[in-house]
Amino acid sequence: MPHSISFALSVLGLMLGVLLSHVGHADIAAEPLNRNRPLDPAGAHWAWYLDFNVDDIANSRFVLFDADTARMKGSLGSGAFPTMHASPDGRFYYVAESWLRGPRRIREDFVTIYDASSLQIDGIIELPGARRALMSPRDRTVLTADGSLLLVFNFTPSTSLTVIDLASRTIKGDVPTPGCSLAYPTSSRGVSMICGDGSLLTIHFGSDGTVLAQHRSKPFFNPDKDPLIENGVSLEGVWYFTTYGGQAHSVDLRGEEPVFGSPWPLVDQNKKPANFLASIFTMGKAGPWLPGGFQILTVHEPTRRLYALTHPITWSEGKGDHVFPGAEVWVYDIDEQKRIDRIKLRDVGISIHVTPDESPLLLVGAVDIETEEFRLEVYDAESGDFLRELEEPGEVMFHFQGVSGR
Amino acid sequence: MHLNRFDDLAADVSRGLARRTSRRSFTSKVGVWLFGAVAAPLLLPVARGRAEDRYAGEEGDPRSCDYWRYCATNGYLCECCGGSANECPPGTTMSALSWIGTCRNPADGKNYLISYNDCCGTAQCNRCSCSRHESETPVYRAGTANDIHWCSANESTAINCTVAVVLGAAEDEV
Repeated sequence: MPHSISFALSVLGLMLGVLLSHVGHADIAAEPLNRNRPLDPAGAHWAWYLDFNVDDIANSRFVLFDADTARMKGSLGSGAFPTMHASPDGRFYYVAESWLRGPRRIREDFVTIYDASSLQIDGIIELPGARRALMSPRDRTVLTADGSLLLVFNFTPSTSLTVIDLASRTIKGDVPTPGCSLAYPTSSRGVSMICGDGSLLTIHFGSDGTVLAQHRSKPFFNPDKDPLIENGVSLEGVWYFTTYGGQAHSVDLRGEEPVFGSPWPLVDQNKKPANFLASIFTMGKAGPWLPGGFQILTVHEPTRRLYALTHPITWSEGKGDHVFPGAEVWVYDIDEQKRIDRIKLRDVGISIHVTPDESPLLLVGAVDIETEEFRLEVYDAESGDFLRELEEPGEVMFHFQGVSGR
Repeated sequence: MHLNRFDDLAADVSRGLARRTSRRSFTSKVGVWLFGAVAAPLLLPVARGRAEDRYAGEEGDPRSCDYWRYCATNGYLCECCGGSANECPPGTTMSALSWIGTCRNPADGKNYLISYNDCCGTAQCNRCSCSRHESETPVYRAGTANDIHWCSANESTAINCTVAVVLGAAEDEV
């Protein structure tokens, strides 16, 4: 068929198609421009996670998603090494972040304040110097329990806290904290920090941000023999941590001074390795296990259950266990101090978070060990069943947190 | 994990080798386990075949995350970025501050103190990513913590890659 005839027939067919498509259908109404979808009211299973964006650390982001539908609800670009806190009244998000400018990454540090109902920027506080030198531990910034002060941990490598008054959005000054790092909120307007000798430094602040009192505890763990992993969780003012060796420590921060509970084991303390055959028949799961990952612990307040990412030492060969990804999530009754369940993960987990409601979901930042792609998986926290996953979540997800706080 | 996935991985030695040198080291470690526990007899001769004696008194491939000096590193290996295991690439500046690891040299069985210094001043290398955490501590023991942005003290805070410089033999066994 000559090309000209073929072309004419094609055009005729196209015109016929256009005509037919209009038979019996009204035109789509013209839509207004310049519209933003408002943020829906948060559901019980909404959560934020940090996409660290490991291939371009200057451009991380916090992503808000609904675990019921596995749909993304919004995001906040957060520069490098960010942390996020929600104000107790739910009006604001405070994001401490570093802006790394241009190819030479000239660094400036800020706290950006977002309206939580619109995710629009409500204010920016510039932090002096470029002193937030830590990259990933979540507790580099802390909001006091009353929501009045934001404290930013500095490492130059001298250690200090910058005190920010959030009502006036002004910096009140720096407090030196020699030898002590990170910060965990007490029930009053204060923080406790972990010191290099295994003790806690507790600082209480006045409403104007001045230091009212300081207290240094005795060491409660041995950082030379069994270091405490700094990613802890709090339940009604009591903080829970694990050590490298899987000993759970509780630290009650409700009073003027911390009160330490007796450690209890999260894993079997029998370190005898599995024999070769047992390893084969259990896919390496025989023998001792240890906790490990980035966000290793999460807690469910209504049932007072603690969840921990764990892996068999046969997998890790005993090297770098404290960050080794988890094969399972072990579930504990905190008051009974015993394990009550094991949740097997589809992939290996690096971060976990349980939603705070009565029908909790377990959110897992995971890695597919076949494709090495990152996954964001949703499990039923009670049955352990895998439910769904968020597609294309990003690169290295951790720091899950609920919409109203941790 | 599902059994079939385990079988697939255990059977696929070549993919396992790729995984061991992956830029995402924590998944590499899972791969290391799969072969360490099950297929080590198959793997080890292959690994030996890859070895390059680049530094006197050492063995192994300094472009591999498995190389003994990298036991507590965190970042991109300068060997893959125009530098070497102990030299920053041209155009970068070595951070004045560092963290220290203690690694065992398989060639002589001794432990050595290793200084991990970031090379600062230009874009992320994004090759040979390697994060290992043997002898590494949380930041409250900062001298041995690898989660610190050590280029922060430089005018340009860009981290290109990280070197692993031998400081000397460690006095005590780890």
